[in-house]
Amino acid sequence: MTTTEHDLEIELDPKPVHDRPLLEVMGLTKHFTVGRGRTRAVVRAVDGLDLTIRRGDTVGIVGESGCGKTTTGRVLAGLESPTGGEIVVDGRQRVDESTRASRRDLRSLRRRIQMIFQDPLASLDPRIPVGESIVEALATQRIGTPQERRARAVALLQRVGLSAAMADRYPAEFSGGQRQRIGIARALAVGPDLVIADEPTSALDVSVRAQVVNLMRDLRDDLGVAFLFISHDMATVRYLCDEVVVMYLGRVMERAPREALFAEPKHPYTQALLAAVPVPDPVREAQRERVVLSGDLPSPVAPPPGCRFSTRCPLATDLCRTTEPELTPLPGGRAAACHYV
Amino acid sequence: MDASQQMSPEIAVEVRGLSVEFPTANGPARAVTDVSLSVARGERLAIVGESGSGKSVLSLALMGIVGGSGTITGGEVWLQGQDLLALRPEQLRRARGRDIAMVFQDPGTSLNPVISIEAQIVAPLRRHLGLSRAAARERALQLLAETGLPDPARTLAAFPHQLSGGMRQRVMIAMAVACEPTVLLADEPTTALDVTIQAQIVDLLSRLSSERGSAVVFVTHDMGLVARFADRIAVMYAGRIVESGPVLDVFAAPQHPYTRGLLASIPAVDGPLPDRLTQIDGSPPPLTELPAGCAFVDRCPSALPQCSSSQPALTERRPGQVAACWATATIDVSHREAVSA
Repeated sequence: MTTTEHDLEIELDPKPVHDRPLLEVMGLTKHFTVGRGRTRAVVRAVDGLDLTIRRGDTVGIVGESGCGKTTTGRVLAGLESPTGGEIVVDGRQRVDESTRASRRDLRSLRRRIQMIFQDPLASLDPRIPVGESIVEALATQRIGTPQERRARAVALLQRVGLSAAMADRYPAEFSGGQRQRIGIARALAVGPDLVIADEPTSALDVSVRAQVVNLMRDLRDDLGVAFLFISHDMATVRYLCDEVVVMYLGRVMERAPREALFAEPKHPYTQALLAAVPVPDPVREAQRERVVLSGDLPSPVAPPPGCRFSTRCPLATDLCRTTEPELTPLPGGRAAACHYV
Repeated sequence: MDASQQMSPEIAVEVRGLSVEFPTANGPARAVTDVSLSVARGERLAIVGESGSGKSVLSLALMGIVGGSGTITGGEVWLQGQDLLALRPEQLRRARGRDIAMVFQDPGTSLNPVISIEAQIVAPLRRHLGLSRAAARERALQLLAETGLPDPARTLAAFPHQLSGGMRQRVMIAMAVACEPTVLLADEPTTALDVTIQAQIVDLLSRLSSERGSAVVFVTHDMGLVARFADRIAVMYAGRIVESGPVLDVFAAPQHPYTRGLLASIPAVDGPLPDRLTQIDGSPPPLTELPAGCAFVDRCPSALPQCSSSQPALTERRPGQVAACWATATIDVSHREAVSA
C-alpha cells in the first residue's frame, strides 16, 4: 500500500467535513489486574465511558489522578486494548487486534489517530535526528517517497515554528517547548483525523506553555484536525476545547459544551473542581466562593458503592451511597451523573 | 558581628546581595545573581519563576544550604540576628531546625521510608523543644489533628508508603510547624498533588501561618496560587529578581515585561476568555551564557538598545513595588493610573 504525492497534498489541506462522527465510544471499559494471589485486585481505570468526537472537534477530558483520563486516551489511540465496550471509528467498528486482518486495520487506525505525550522525549528516539523521527513515522505508514518524506519533515518542522536546519539535530539538543513542537509535528506528519494529546503542556514552563497551546489551536483551525485534549489543567481546557468531559474514578460525572460547563457546572464534583483551581487574580480570588472538598480520592481498586463521588460530596444522601446514578442528558446538549441534578 | 548590620526585629529572614554558582562543563552556571530579599514575620512571600530561574536555589540558600557542588560567591543570609553563611555546621543545624523549616514538593522523598511517622515527627520535637518522649508524642498527635488528618493515632503508627500524597504532605507540614519556626519555606508544596487536595493544603498553610505568625516563603510557578495565598511576590528570571511588590499591585500593574507576559499568558477558569493567549516567544538563556545586560532582552517586546549592554537595577515604581527594566522605568504612567483609579 504505497501512497502517492496526491495523498501528501491532501494532508496539508483542511479535512473534509462529514456528518458521521469521527469517533464513537460506547460503554468503554479498561480494567487492569494488579498483584497476585491474595493481593490480586482489579483496577477499574475506565468503567463505562461514552464519548463522541466529530471531525474538527476539540474535546477535553479533565479529572484528577486515577480518574481514567490517561487510560482513555491510550485505549482510543490503540496503545492499549479495551476490556469492554465499543469503539467505532468513522462508522467502522474497531476490532480486536490479535487477528491478521486487523493488524492492517490497526495500522490504518494509527494513521488516523495520533498521540502527543506529556514528555515528548518518550515519543522521540534519542539516537536519531528529529527530522529522521518524522521520516520514520511516514515510512511506517508507507507515505511518500524518501525524498518526499524528507521534504515533508522539514515543512512540518517549519510549520511548528522550528527551522529546517534543526531537522538534523538530536532530541537532547532542544528545549522542552521545542521538543513538544517536534512531538506535535511528528503526530501531524501522517495526516491524522484525530490527535490525542495527554497533558501536552504540563511539563512545560509557564512562559513556554502559551506558545504550545497557541500552536495547537492554530493547527486545529488550519488543518481541521480533531483534538482530544487530556489534562488536569482546567484553565487550558477552557481555552482550547469546545466540549468538556469531567471524569472521576473511571466514570464520567459531567459532560457539557465549554461555556455551559465553566459558567454553570451542574455536578457537585465539577463545582468543587472548578472552585479548587485558583484564578490568577488576587481581587477575584478573594471574592470567589470556596468549596473545599474534604478527604482523599478513593482508590480506583475499590471505588465506593453507589455514586463514586459520594464519599466526598457535600450533598450526598443514602441514595447516593447505594445507587450509582446514570449519566443523564440535560437541556443544552449536556449530561450529568447525579441523582440531584 | 557588626551590631549595626543586624536586622530590625520584625524581619524574619533577610538575604543581601546573594550570588550562587554551580560549575558545569560549559563554565559556571549563575543560578542566583545579586539577590536581596526580606520577609517580615507573619508575611507570606511567593517566589515565582520557571525552571532555572533560581527560585529553588534561593529558597535553599535561605536555610544556609547550597545543594550539590554549588558555591555561594557573595552575599549574606540573616536569620534571627545571625548570618547563617558564617555559622559553623553545628550552629547552623541548631538554628535551622528551630527557626526555619521546609516543606518540599515531593513529600515522598523527604520522609524516611523505613522509619515510622511517629519516630520522624517526635525526634525534632525532642531535640529542638526538649520535650519528653510522652510529651512529644502528645504534641505530635495534636499537630497531626490540626492538619486535618482523619485518624492521627493511626497516621503516627504508619510508614510513609502507607499514606497518600496529600496525607504525606500534611505530615510534612505538621513536622515543619512542630517547632514553631520563624520562617516556613514551602517549595512547590502542592505541585505533585491533585487540585482538590492542593486547595486543602494551601488552606492549611494559610491557617497555620496566621495562627503562629510564621513568615512563609512559598516557591511556585503557579500565579493562581500566588493570587490565593501570598501577600507579596518576587518574580525571578535567569537568577535575578526582576520585580517584586505587594501581590495586589503587581497583578494590577506589573512593571516588568516578563511579569506582564506571564500574567497575560495564563488562561483562567473564569472571567473573560481571551481570543488568543499572549505568548512570550523563545526561552530563557542558559545560566552559563548570561548576557551583560538584561537576560530577558531577546524575548522582550519593549527592549531598548541599552537593554543588551547594561543590567537594569531594581527601581521603585510604587511604594514597595520594584522592577528592573530600562524600558518601563519611564513609560509606566498609564499602569500607575490604572492602579490608583
